[in-house]
Amino acid sequence: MGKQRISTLLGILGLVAMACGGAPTAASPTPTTPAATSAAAASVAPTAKPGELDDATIAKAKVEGEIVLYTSLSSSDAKKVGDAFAASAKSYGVKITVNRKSSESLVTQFMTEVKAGKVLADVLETGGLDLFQAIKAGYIEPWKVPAAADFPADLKDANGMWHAARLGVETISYNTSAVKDADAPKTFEDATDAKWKGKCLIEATDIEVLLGIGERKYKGDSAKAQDLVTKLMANCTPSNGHTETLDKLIAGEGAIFWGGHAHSTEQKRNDKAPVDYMQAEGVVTIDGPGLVKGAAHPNAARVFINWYLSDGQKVLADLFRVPAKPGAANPRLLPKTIYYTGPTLAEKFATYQEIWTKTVKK
Amino acid sequence: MVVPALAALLLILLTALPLGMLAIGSLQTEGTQGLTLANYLGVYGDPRTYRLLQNSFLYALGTSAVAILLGTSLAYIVERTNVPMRRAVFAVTLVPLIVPGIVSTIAWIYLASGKIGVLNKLFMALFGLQTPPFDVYGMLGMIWTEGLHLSPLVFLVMVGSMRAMDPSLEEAAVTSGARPLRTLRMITLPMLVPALAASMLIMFVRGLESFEVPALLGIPARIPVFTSEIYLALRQYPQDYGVAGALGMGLLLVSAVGVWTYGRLTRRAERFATITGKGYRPRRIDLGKWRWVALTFMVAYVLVVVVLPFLVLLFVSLLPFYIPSFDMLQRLTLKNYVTVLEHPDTLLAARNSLILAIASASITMALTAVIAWIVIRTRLPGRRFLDLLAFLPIGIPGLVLAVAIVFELVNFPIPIYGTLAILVIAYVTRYLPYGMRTNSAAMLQLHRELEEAAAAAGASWWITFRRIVVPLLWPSLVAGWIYVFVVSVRELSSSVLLVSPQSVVISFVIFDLQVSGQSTAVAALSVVLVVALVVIVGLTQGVSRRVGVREG
Amino acid sequence: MAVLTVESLRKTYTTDRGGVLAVEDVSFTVEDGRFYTLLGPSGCGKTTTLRSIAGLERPEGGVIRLDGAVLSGEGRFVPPYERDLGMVFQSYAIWPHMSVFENVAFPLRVGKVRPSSGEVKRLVEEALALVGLEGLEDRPAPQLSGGQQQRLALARALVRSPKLLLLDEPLSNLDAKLRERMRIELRELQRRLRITTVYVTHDQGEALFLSHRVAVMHAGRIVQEAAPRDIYAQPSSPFVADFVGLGTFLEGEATVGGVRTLGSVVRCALPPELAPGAPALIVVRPESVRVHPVAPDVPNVFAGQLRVAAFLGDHLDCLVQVGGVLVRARAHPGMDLRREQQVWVELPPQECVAVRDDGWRPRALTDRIGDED
Repeated sequence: MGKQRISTLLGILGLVAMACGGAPTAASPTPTTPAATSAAAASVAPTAKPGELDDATIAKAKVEGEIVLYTSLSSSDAKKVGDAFAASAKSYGVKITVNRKSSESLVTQFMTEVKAGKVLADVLETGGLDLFQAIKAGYIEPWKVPAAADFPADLKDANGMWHAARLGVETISYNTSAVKDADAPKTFEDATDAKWKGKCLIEATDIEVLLGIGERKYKGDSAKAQDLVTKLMANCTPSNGHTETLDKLIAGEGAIFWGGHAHSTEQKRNDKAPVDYMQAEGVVTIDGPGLVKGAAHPNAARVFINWYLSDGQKVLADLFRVPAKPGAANPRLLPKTIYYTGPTLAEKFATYQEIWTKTVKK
Repeated sequence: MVVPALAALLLILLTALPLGMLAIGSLQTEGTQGLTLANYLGVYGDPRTYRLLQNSFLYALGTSAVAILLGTSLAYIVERTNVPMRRAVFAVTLVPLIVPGIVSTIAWIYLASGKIGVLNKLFMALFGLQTPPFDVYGMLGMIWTEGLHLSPLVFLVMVGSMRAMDPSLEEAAVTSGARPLRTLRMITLPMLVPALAASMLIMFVRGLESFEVPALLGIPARIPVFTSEIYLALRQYPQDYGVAGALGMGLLLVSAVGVWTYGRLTRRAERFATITGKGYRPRRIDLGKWRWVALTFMVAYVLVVVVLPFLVLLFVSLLPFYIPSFDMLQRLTLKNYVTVLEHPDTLLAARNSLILAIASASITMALTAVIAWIVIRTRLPGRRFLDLLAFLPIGIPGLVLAVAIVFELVNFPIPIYGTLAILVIAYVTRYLPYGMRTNSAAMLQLHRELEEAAAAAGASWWITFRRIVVPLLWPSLVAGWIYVFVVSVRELSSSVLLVSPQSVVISFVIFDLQVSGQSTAVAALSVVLVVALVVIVGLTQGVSRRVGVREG
Repeated sequence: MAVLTVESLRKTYTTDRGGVLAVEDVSFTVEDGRFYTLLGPSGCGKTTTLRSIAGLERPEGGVIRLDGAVLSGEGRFVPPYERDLGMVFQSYAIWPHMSVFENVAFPLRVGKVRPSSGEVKRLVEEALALVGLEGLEDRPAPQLSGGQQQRLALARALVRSPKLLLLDEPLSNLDAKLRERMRIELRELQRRLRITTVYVTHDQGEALFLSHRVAVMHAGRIVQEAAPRDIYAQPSSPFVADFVGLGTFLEGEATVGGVRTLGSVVRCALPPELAPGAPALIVVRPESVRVHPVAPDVPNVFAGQLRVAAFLGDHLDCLVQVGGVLVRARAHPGMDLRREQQVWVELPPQECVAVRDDGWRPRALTDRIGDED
């Protein structure tokens, strides 16, 4: 009984901690601590080949022997990634346990565990905005991944806090039975055209798309973003869930779907569903792995992350996803003009959320 | 009295922390230390909140009315009359319970959406209409869909109550000159007040905290409800537990008021004691030629509530994607079933879900039976508080409950974190309210002298409970058990956080398939679930009939 | 006038095991103001018959008439709420959510003709006075004791002065003393009101005490119907003999002047249908058997050994082994009898009843008492 009471008390205290945890506290999570610097230094130390890990890390990883991956990939995709890793020579015999959840649940679980004093994950692989919460709370360790050395600046953090592993491409999907390719929208603003009134679907919480457009396309002009949303909401019918909305699009409930995901639309298109998507421009969200601070198997984690960002990228491509590594993705899936969102834009999210919900709430 | 004491203790342990977290979380905000009322002021000071509340109340009232009307009528027909084919109907009636909310709502979209609904196309073609007669989007559609979805619960609660009602009470009325409808009004329904009140209470709170139907059918019609706000608050970066908490506490308040009202309504327990032990054999009312009317109603109910959506599901499960057109018949495929089978977790999830369902249902019903006994039979101070405590979990969002459990148990000396055990804890906590209400209503029907007789004969509390109370409450216990069993397979909002690779469950697999765009595979899995359910419930029915009061 | 006629009533039940014939070809008439009892073990069809009269069951065949008007049969079926009767149920069926007054007033308030509220009050008070419950009008019904609830049920059944009163084992849930008292009150009430009554019970004491006529039922049929005295003294079959009262059965063969049994001949009157040589049973009631410590010089005396002599307050309950048979007797409580003592039992010829042996046997002696559910 005593233990219960103590843990209950801890729980209540943890609540208090949790609420305070979100605020910028004195303990800043930026990599200025000596430990982080030496870790960064270690990874810059002479390696065997470019893009590969140094032998010391590999040796330690073999000793650790296992890694726990928290990922927001779907179950079958996560399993395939896990299996591919285990089968690869570059795993060096490290066993992998995969815990997969949806992005919000994953981060909630992770953060709750850590606050309660238990670090169970070695790698946290999830959407950039969610990963940012963990970064902000100081739970992620910076490390420059050798395999990502040649990734463009948009796709990684300068200090090694995060790297893009897979991309989410959000454009406008459309029903090809109802819309000829020539008439299909070519820009995000096209959806506000009167001809789409009543025929346009929009996902009710797709704030991240607005974030990308507002910050990258409109260069932070929130008035313009507000205007866009207002016109969109007047023209389009809100709907809950990306899968559900895409299904509705295919069934004929709408002609276009503002914010539709390119890769899921591509999958349906492969099944001969009457859908396609705008390729002229798109918002690209960044999902990737973070190295957990205080992980039980830090070196095995590095082995995984490095594999994931090199050979693992092909596995993602085979799963119809959009790997971040330059040249690895199906080019059809990458829009001509890209507006990136990710951890760098996380702190701007609140602004666009307010704009969005204010308009929706009318 | 060891068992009741332990039960009460367990109840407190299960509910205290999640409730505490919700309460404390609601008093905190990002960026400020200490407790504050800012969330409450923000939420309840905003006029928009009241528009939401209005929508929610309307919605909850509507769905309660539909569910209670349908469920009670059906229960009466199946349980008290001699309508043919009633046993077959029982298992079938429960089907809507197992179909995940998202799936059944989408089925109704495919049936009754203005643009793509099959029923609309049919009616328009048949009757030459210009505009579609049905629109599933909007308040009426929401009420219809959720009401149908919830009616099996009412059905179960009322069946339990009616089965335990001495039919000579109604026979005395008809032999005194009262026509059947008057008998229903003046005798039957007043006797069923505890069960009716219990149903209303659950339905109403369920309606308030319902999420899927308002999300899928309300958002497109721009009818936001209370839970949409809670959902939005929890989807922000970072998650705003403060706002979610303040809203959640509002729900709890409504629940508490409901429980209090229920307590007052059923205060004089002896008014509802229909099982008096003076030797009765449950008998059925002969409806005469009205049998065919009742049969029609029953069949219509089954068709609309069960068969139609199921057919849609079946159809969708055999397609790579859904378009309401006969051309799709050429695209029939079994690929979805293959996907389901090939999913890495399906078989493990099925096994886990079954174990969980049995464990949660059994523990919940056992625990709440004892608690109900304490509340109704004893005069212990604080028993009303236990009653409240057992009902409040209905207002706790599943996610909050899950977080509380992670907190409590991630450091637990016994390594139960990540196992099925924590899921059992979560499920039992979530379903306490349902078990509590069904058992409470049932216990009121039991005249206390039946237990007193046992005590006078020298039986200890435990023996009396086991050999007198439980067998006589059996119909309600089974009804509640079936309900918890079925819905625990569907439980998602807590599971989504608490599962681990070894403890995946079916609802999680469904969720995973759905968000990764495999909605047709979800339909296939739902079809499998329905078939499994009908088989299992059919078996349970056979077992339950051998226990308890035999039919004459 | 309220004459009830039942003709060739037939009712089947379908259970999981298939069809069960509950009532088969039952016919009887209850004259105006008479008390008629259906007596029999559980499952004999008596309750089904009563419920058919009430309209709670639909018979498959037969006609039920009240004062000539058809209640069921001949293609018609009058629902129970349109029949002019009052019914008392075994479980009383008191409505727990109503007060005593409301329970009794209910039939007045729901019928086709509704008296004014003043009239209702008067009638209810009268009915309550009839059964001795005056003053309890406002009490919630569940707070009454068992005996009071039973009276309440009776008051409710009588409040609209129906033509027919039906009672389904109303006393079976009362304790022995209360049952005795209620029996007396019920009889007195019925005789005073002169209401045509049909009563169902498995207790032969009640049947004999209350009724003008008793019909013994067995396996869905009436096997004998007569006045109580005649049923008791002149049972027409072993079943009836056994059911209506305790007795000793002596198996044997009819012969001239009596029945050959116990190694000798028991002299008694033979019913006309019992021809010499036919298998017969002698039935003799315990109170008619006399126990003698020395052999008396009277007819029908047999020697035996006293096996049991139990003191029951007003008599000694004796079992005497005569040959292979245990003869049941009652002796004066003051007699000095020891177990294993040799005694002589006398079966006075006028007390012996001979019936044709149709093969029916009662269950063992020890469980004959209270063998019904």
